[in-house]
Amino acid sequence: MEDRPLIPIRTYVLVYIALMLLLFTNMAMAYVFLGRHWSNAISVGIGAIQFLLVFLFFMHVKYYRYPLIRLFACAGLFWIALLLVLTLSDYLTRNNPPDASPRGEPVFLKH
Amino acid sequence: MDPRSTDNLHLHEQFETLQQQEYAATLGMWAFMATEFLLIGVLFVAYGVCRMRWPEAFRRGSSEMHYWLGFFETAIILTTSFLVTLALRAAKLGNNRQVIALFATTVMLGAGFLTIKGTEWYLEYGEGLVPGYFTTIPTKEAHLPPDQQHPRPVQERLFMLFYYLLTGTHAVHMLIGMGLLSTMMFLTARGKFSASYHTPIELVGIYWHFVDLVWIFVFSSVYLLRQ
Repeated sequence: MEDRPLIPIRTYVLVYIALMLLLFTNMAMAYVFLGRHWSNAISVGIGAIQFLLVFLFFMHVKYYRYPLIRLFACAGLFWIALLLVLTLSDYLTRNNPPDASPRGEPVFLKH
Repeated sequence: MDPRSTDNLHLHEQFETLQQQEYAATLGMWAFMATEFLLIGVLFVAYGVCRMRWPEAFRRGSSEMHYWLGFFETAIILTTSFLVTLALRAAKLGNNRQVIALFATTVMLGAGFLTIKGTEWYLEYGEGLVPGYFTTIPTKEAHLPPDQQHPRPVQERLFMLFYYLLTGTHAVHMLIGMGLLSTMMFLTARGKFSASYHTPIELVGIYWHFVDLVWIFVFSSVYLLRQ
């Protein structure tokens, strides 16, 4: 049984074009003033879409016929998700320690 | 399998078929990739936590990045990923000359990427952004009177530390990837791979795409968060 079928070049070209368009969009959006939260969400969101395109099509995770390989491929991402959610559930809910200003204003050196 | 087949040269004794062997190798590669995801994931999560804690200092850090250089680096690395997928396809079709040409181009583009990266690090050194030589007053404003200077917050040094950790770890992985691609190129030229056996090329491809994935997030979460 062939593990990975031969994927048409057209698919790769389309994914590559999509990746480049997303890169241009991301770069352009960085110049548009949208406020911190929207801007950050769009930038990281576009990064996540690019990540998925590479992960699914270039790394062939979409095309593996064996579910166990897909499970292994997703395991790493699952652990990062776990790390992120559990860490942030701590940091976002605890009181700010004295050295950090609640709104994150910069601290300047006195000298 | 036909016992006279040359594929038997590549088949290790614990496996029944080449497909089974490839399955095991791919599974092992992904288990290794999971550890790589964790290695880099920890850095990203720590960066995210600090960014949430000192958003203003980190925003200032991002705005001092050379994002046009970052843009070219991203374009280069996405292109290399594309070339590697084409190389894997060529390997599957047994077109070894094409594999060598595509891998050679990838390695050269990778070297181009590292050159731009090095230039960027050098520029940041000159701007007083390297953590060890971090200057609170930007180098280009040093000659101005104090009321015209825009001092950097101390937490920006932390941002730069993350920046160097992330890009440095990425660059090391890239060097390893370039070494692996060169080895594959050499082995392909010596006729070690065929349409029925090219597992090492597939596995090195997975590694190279991982390098690409890391950079995608470095660019979108370190360079571009300027607001």
